[in-house]
Amino acid sequence: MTYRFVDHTGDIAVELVAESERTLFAEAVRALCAILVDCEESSLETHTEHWVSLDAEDGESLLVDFLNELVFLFDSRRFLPMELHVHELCVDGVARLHATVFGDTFDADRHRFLTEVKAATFHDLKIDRLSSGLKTTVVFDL
Amino acid sequence: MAHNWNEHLRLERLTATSWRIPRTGPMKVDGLVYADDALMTELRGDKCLQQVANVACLPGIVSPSIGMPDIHWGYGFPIGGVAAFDLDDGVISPGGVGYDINCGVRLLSTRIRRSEVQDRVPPFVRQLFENVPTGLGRGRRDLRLSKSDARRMATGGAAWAIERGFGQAGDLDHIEEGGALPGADFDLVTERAFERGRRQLGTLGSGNHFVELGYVDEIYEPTIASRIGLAPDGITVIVHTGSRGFGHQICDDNLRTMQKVAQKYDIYLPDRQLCCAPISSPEGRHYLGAMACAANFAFANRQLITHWVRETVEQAWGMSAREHGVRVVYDVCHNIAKIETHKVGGVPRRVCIHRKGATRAFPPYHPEVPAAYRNVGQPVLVPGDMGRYSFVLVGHPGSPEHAFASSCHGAGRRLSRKKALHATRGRRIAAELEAQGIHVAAASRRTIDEEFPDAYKDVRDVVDVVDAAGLARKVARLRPLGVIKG
Repeated sequence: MTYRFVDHTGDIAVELVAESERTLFAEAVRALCAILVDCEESSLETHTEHWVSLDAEDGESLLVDFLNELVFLFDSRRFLPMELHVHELCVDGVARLHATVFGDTFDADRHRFLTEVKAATFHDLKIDRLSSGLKTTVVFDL
Repeated sequence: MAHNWNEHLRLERLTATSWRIPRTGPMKVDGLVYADDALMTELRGDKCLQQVANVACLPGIVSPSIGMPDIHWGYGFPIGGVAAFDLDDGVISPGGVGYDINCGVRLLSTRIRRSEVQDRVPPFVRQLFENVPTGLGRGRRDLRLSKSDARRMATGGAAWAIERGFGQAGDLDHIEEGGALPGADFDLVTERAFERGRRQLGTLGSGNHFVELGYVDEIYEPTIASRIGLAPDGITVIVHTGSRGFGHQICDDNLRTMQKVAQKYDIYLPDRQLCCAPISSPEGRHYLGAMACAANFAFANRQLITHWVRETVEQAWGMSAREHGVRVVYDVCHNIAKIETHKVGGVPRRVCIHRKGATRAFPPYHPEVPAAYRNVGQPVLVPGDMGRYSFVLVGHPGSPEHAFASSCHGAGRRLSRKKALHATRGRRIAAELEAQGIHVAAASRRTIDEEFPDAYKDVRDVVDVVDAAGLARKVARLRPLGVIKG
């Protein structure tokens, strides 16, 4: 499973490739953290955790809602998301996620801030099923 | 319907500065893009033309779906997009305004001449960087927002800030909508939006937001420049920021609702980010009431920063208010939806205009142009990149006939952030700018690299098209001396 930043003129786009829904969502967490802070030049520790429980009409909406929940937590509580422990994840029919997100509390002395994120968007969003797993590209508004 | 209908759009030249995208597939109206040959060459490789066509598919759109010369690929609507919708049959789309509701620009003029302060720019930039929280910085300690404050701020906008001592009553005369969009209803704002925004009032943010100290280096229309308070070599300040997390969350909350109602209202969406609801529907009215609260947060935010710019001039340069004479030239919204009256086919019609990365440009004698500017037109502020220049224009007498009296909003990116980082690897952009006499202070070095001048089109090319197309008239050019960024 991987994430990589791909070109987008106005904002930032991240391509996520994973074997399963669980790893796709986990990869999305790592990508968001890498947009917010320089992971290589920050001392990151999983000090804190947040419980996330979401329902959505499909997998794409669930992914966007989940990422925007994390954007909210960073903006309002300085929670830097790092790892995802999924308790329940279903993307067929009514999509559902119950999970614990582990992360750090942003601290300018330990973390090199990169940029604020306004939101994850629905722009051209589709979770594609490949023979080897799943692939999608999420555009974030910065 | 073929899902790839928008991949091979035709482009027909209309004039030297405008192009038509003829209606095809599910498009309800044509697209219209303002660009000259050089700008169009760059646009052909960008997905923004598809986005103009996608917007043309939305219900009740009044012809045409428009792209400004600074248009570039956004999410949902293009950045630099203008679209008007019929009040009865049309829709309102939170994605057509964007997350940063009422992101906008305010221009301040002064009585100070460049020669008086040219050698004292670094202390000004340092003091400004201290006075205006940037990046992830929370709001100032002297500004705490309680729930009841937020309620008053959401309807009062810039006037709320002035009542709290941040500015002068006269500032309100030169702000779009007088600094408060009507129709704001704080009861439509979620607890999450309040929580996200409460510590961010009076902060600049990161990305392309900035406060820039500069001077008037060229004047094209001396009479108009003088009327709006711009003199040769006069010191100016540009403030570019918006509604911060408060607006982002209001957009997100309403997008979530509207994702669920496309089916209910039988709306075809070529891109889910374009989700929308009829203007008169409960969901549409809900969004408009909440959006106005965010717009007013942004007006208050730019008002607070204006006050701190005045403080900075006094602290760094030891000038009194009488000596510096900092006044608001004008304040424009870049990301907004508004109900306006425009002639369509020669008949006045009330429409809901979405301007996403575009500026209103009312002509001379329009009733909403401030009294002092009535016979010259509404000022249009077009910031460029931090190394070159910015422009001040005014609405052209013929502007209502074009683009629903709208103009461009900036230079428009030409390089993605990723390409900008690649292009600046191994360079020290802040030092390069300093060598040109431009002093930069930023919360993050990465922001300076991502925002380096060549990441943007030359804003002169953009405003030349705006001027030639009859959207707005060039009045003056400003050059930067110092910039603070997030």
